[in-house]
Amino acid sequence: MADVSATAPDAPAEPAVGGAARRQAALDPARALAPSPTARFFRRARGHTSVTFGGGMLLAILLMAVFAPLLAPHDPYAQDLFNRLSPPFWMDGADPNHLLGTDKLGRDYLSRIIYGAQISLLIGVATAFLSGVIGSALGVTAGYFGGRVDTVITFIITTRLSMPIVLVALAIVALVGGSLEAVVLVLGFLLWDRYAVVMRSATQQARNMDYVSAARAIGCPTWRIVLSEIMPNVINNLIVIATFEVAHAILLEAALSFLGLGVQPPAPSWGLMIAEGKEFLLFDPWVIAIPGVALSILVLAVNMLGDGIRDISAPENRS
Amino acid sequence: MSAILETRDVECVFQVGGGFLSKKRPLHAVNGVSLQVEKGSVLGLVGESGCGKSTMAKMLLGLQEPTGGEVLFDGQPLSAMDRLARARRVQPIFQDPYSSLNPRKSIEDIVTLPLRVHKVGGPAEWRARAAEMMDLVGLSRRYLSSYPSQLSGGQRQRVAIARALSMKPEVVICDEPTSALDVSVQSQILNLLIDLRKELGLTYVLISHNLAVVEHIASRVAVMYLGRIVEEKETGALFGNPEHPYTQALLDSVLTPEPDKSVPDTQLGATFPNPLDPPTGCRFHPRCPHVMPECSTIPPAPVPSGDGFVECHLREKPGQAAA
Amino acid sequence: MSALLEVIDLTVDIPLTDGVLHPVRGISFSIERGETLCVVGESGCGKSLTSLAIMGLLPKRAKREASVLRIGDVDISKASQRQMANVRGNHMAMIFQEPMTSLNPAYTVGNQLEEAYLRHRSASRQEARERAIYLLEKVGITGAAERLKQYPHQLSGGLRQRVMIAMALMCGPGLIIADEPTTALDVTIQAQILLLLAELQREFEMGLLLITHDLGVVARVADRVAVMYAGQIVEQGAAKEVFERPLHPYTRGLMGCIPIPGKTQRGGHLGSIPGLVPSLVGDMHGCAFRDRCSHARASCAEFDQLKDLGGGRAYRCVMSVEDAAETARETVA
Repeated sequence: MADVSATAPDAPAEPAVGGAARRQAALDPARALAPSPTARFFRRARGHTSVTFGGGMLLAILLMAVFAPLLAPHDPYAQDLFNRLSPPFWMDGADPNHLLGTDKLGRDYLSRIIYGAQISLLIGVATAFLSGVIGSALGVTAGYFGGRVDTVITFIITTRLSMPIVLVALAIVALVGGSLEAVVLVLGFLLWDRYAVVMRSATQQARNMDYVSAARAIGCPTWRIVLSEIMPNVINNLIVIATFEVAHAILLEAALSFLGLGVQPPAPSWGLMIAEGKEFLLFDPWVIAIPGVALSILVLAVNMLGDGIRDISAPENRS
Repeated sequence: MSAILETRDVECVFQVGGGFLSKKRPLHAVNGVSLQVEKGSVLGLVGESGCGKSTMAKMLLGLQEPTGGEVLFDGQPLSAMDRLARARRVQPIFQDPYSSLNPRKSIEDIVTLPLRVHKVGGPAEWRARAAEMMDLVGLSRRYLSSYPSQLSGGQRQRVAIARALSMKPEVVICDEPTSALDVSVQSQILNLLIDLRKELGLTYVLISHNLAVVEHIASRVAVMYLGRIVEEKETGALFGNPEHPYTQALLDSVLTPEPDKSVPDTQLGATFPNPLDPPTGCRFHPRCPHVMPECSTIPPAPVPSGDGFVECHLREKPGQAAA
Repeated sequence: MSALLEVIDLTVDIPLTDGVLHPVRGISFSIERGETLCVVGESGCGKSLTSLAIMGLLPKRAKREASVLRIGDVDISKASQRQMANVRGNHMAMIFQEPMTSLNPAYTVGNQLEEAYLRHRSASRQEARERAIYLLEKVGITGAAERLKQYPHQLSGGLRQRVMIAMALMCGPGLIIADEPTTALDVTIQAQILLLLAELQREFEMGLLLITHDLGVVARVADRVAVMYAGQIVEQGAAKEVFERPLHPYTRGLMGCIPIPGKTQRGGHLGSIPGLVPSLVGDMHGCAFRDRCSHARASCAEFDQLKDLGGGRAYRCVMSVEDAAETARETVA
């Protein structure tokens, strides 16, 4: 055991009860306690670059989204047809009122980027949550019960994996019409496979542990074993997958919006902004580049955070 | 005869392997075992890997349904008992102190889990009982707020014992309780188990491959081989005069720290027991140094010996009992 | 005649985030040809790291120091990885604890045996194969030619360990280092493997360094024994001597913990050693056992010397030999 940094707590007054007192004297080591699992986790997190960097960037974007009304210089929907396609500040002819320029309808790009973060984050988190619930429920059930239940659920997972999700998403959204809610629901009901697979194997591992047998011997009902004994041990895997799936959902929403089947104009979705800018690719590439870069930074931040969390959790699993 | 725990010809067959195209094969982990455990005694169940003792442990705890025969607790079939009622009467201590405690739960949570599941009293009672149990097993109360990863192997095993005893069960199934511990810690835990049995009037089923430990603590010993009990007797009788060739080999193989002795040659041969493909007749016959022609065709039936029994063709005719 | 393996003042340090870990602290021993030395201790005493240090298989950040580290006439104290690779398998070979994981599941038994040979000898595949069959038969495996084509998962634990032994012998090393070779095996198989090792050692005149926590194995197998505690050797000598007249309180404590059928009082308390092993991180001085010793006195905090009694007998305790014998009489088994 390499961690010996914790301080030794005070020992409270203990009664001397018969044989117990005799035992007491023989055993109590005066050693300092190693830090608890949560303390260790956060200590490692602070030292890990991916976590701090990715987490920091994500936090910045999150704050930007939350405080959008305060930060955005203009209304993202306000059109100014006399001031269309004004270039961003690093190019000639830039307008100091519009730091990142304006789009084809004269709307301030900077404001649209700031408000666009809301949409990306909202969709990413909502989708990850919905697919997380579905996938975890399936995965944990399959992993815990095994046998026929496992066979059926594995079959469902395999079926889902054989579907080309982008095409299915497109088809469904084409039928019901594009909107924020539609995107969240469709992606949420399609992107649960990785959760299911990972939670299934994590649950299988946890199920083989003696503490699960002990809980069963104690008479613990199944629901309690799954929720109280197994879940806390597989939650780390869940968090890692969730971060990656957030990134996945964000990119898929951008793609759907780009194809006109996601969030509808005039909403400042970054994917939509890329779509609206594609006709200007040759002469005003910044129209596409700016939302593209924003998207990349967000996805990078999320992926770094997920990577970092996985790195930190992994050695802890090897007790 | 007041056997608090009894098995009657209990069997456990698993179906293993097989896939889409190939059939599953039966694995006879436990193949007809009849045992009685007297209240207040210690039954040592010894055997090597593949003999079925772990499966026996699970059946005695009610964690595994027998596929044949029955397990009785105080005359009542275990399968008919309510899950909570059974849990109040028989509890386990497992081998691996690193996997028997949930790493995400505090020691207090772990020790009070039985109370919370059985809804005995409220938080105040739980805390009091937790402190009481810690004293009982000789652990400082300050560990109640710690996590398993902060404790040593011996300390974790004490927590496991505290958890097992918090509902004051009558029978404790100890599945290799000290095999994963260092020697100096093993003796501490064994001493603790000895004391607790006397103090609380417990009955133990001690499953172990360490015969020296079994000889020290158990009042009766049952030797298992490939799913069957080949010999069962009072401890002194078994160790003093082992009748089954496997028991003899097993006892010979125990390497005590006595330097004037050397490593014995048990003449068991190099074949290893495969529970998926057990030998015909007496399951021990391919390795037996005293094998006879009928051993490969007829499985031996239990023959009374002292107050126990032995299952060996050698012991069937009175004239053939070897020294 | 100089010893086969000579180790003087071997130290291993591992830098950690919180300080430096000292798992091995200046141990010295030697092994002659045909001799079995058992290094015995509990978990964390440094015995496995000692064997890895000798083989040059320590993790990268570990630092190894020794004033003398010699196998045969090869000085390995400053050897590079390439030089060590030539020594390993050739002059000395190692057998590990877990037969499940020490054989590569992706290659056949024959493949692995032959590779061990061809690495150090310029021989043909056929010659390597013949030697493999010869050694498999020597370790008691029947149908050796067929076994060569099998994969590790097709063999039982006992058989795999025999294959490991055969593999260790492929290049005829002078020294075998066995790290807990029978701990993962059943009791009846353990006896067979130990007998096999003893037989092979006699036949090939090898030295055997056997690392174990099992005092029973030590008593039956060792010519000499070294007891390790907290990174140091606290007692060493001829096995019979150490068992009959243990001088160090830890050795005595350890022996008192083990029940012996027929000798220990049934149902009574076994001896025990209170407390836990001290932390090996940071500066260490004085006797590492003093916090757990019932005969500790003030001078123990400063005492840390190995008292050499001649003839390979030594112990690391402030008590004199007479005092040690006196306290042994007090603690009745």
